[in-house]
Amino acid sequence: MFLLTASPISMKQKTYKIALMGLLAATAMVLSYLESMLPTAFLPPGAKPGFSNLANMFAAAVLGLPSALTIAVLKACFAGLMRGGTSFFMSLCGGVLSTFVMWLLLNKGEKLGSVGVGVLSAVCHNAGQLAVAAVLVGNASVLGYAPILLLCALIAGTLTGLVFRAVLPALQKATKSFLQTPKGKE
Amino acid sequence: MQKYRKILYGFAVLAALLLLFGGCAAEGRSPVQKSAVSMGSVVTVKLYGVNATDSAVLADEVLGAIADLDTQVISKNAKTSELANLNNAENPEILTKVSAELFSALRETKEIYSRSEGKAALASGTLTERWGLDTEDFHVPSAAEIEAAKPLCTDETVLFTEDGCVAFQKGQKLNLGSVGKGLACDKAVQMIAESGLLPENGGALVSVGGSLALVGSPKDGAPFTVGVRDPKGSENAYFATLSLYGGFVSTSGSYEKKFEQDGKTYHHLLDLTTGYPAETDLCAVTVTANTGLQSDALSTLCFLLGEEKSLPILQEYGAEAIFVYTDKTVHMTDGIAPAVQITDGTYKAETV
Amino acid sequence: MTKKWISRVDVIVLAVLLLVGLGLWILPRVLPQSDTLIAEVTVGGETVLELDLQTATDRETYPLENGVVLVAEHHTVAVLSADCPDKVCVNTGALSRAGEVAACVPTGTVVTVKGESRVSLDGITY
Repeated sequence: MFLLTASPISMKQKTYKIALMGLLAATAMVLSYLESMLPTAFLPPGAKPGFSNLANMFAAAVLGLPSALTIAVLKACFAGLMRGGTSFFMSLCGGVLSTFVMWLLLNKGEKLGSVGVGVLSAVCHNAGQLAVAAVLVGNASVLGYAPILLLCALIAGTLTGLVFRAVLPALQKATKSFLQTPKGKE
Repeated sequence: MQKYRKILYGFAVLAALLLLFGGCAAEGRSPVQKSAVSMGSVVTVKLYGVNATDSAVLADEVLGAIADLDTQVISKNAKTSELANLNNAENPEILTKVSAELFSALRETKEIYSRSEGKAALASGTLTERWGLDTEDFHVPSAAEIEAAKPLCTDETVLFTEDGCVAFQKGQKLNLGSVGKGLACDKAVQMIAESGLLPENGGALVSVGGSLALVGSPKDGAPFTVGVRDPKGSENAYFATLSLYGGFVSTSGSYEKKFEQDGKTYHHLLDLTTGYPAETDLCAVTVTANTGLQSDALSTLCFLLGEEKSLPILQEYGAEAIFVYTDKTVHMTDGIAPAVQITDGTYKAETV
Repeated sequence: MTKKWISRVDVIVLAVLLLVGLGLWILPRVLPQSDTLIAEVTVGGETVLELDLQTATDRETYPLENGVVLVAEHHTVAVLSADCPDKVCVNTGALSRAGEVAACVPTGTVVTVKGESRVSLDGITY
């Protein structure tokens, strides 16, 4: 595991980190499960509220890229178990891409607010999923879903970003003691 | 957050405008269109440049009038039809007064078909009945039946008087089946004109089972673009387009209403001199003329007579035609050639 | 780190994406409809069925080998049922315009409506 080979932090910190990651991963799965229970009738096809991405965002913000990516992979496995092989690949590709973008924007995107990060990562999530879908069905026409997914990603991403920003201070405060603060900015 | 409100609102307005524009653009292009089934085919009324409410009302009226024309006047089967009752009269030799509408239709049909060298006639009903063409019960009649019916299919014994009466021999059946769609087109155009609803730059297109009436313009004085069905293709395949500024268009073809019996295919355009479907190299003829009835009758006439003999008759009526042969060659009269664009490369236009 | 809730750049990004999304969504709806609408059904990239939507009036179902059932009526086509967990394809609803898609990723099925860009006809004589 990366944590064991990474920077020199104490055993206690590592333990806390793993625990937090576990907690976030579990949160991701619970949110994912709750999302799948939502009645899909009133949503455009393929659109999801995207709240499960919150866990990824917290991980990316507080735990670093490797941990966040691990959560994304775990989430994909969960999706695969619940809804089949194709869901695994779609969740994996979308999740990894959006998590990476999330991390990038949170750490390097000084100009962007939480909403921006949420929206862009949601868009990337959909893009990754569409790309995989196109490969899986062997037909690029699935891109026809792009416009409606894009519009939904805007809404979902905004909401996710807002929730993230709302909860972040509390999370930071709770983990301040055992985590190195990553490069901060005002 | 305050500063960004303005930007957000600005874009929201822009987005709303986009949606509105998109919505309007999509609507503005399409005419109001209503369809119904009448005379055994699909009848469509399209009105360009008339507001939605008026269009709907007028279209319904036109569709209703066409249905009535069929059931009340010209149908051969409907019990309420004037023509059906005329045909079933005890003594048709006695002069019977008929409505002006029916009278003019009967008389003009006889006149046009009088040029067919006996191949077509107003009184074709006896033979078409034997073939089951009117009741969609297609079958090949026996030779005896055909021989018995042939003499009854002549217009020489059909008489018209100046005061609107008609008489014919017992056993004869007057048939407007091959001109009914054209008649419906005429009626439609008359009603649309009388309604006064078409603006200067408006237009109307009425399709009665493939016979068209074109009025005005669909858009800013542009001509109508009409497809000519591909005789060898599916229902919506067309091999050429016509750019027409108003008028009436009808097509007669052997590709419609075909049936097979004992391995042979029979189409529905009977040559009354033989009693059988016409044997010809033509597979379709499209005629543009000054009235719907003329376009419909002439298209049948051209199909039965063949190109050479039809040309002078077409000229007389100021009509134009496109002759399509089974080998996919296309001949056009001079007047219509400029308006025709063949879109299917397998069809070759040959100059007559 | 303390992040802002929403920044100026965010708004611009949102606005741009919104316009792009709306534009893409509107496009197929304002372009003139073509006369030939064919629904192409592919499974794993191979075309297994083509339906002419122009002639599709009465309801007809088309069961595919992979368990997906299509239904065509009133010039539209839709996925009636499929053996997949999410039913995204079924929820996509009826397709009627060129460019519209219904896809079932688990079964590898895609239904696309293709229109040929031909001259827009006012009528047809036949």
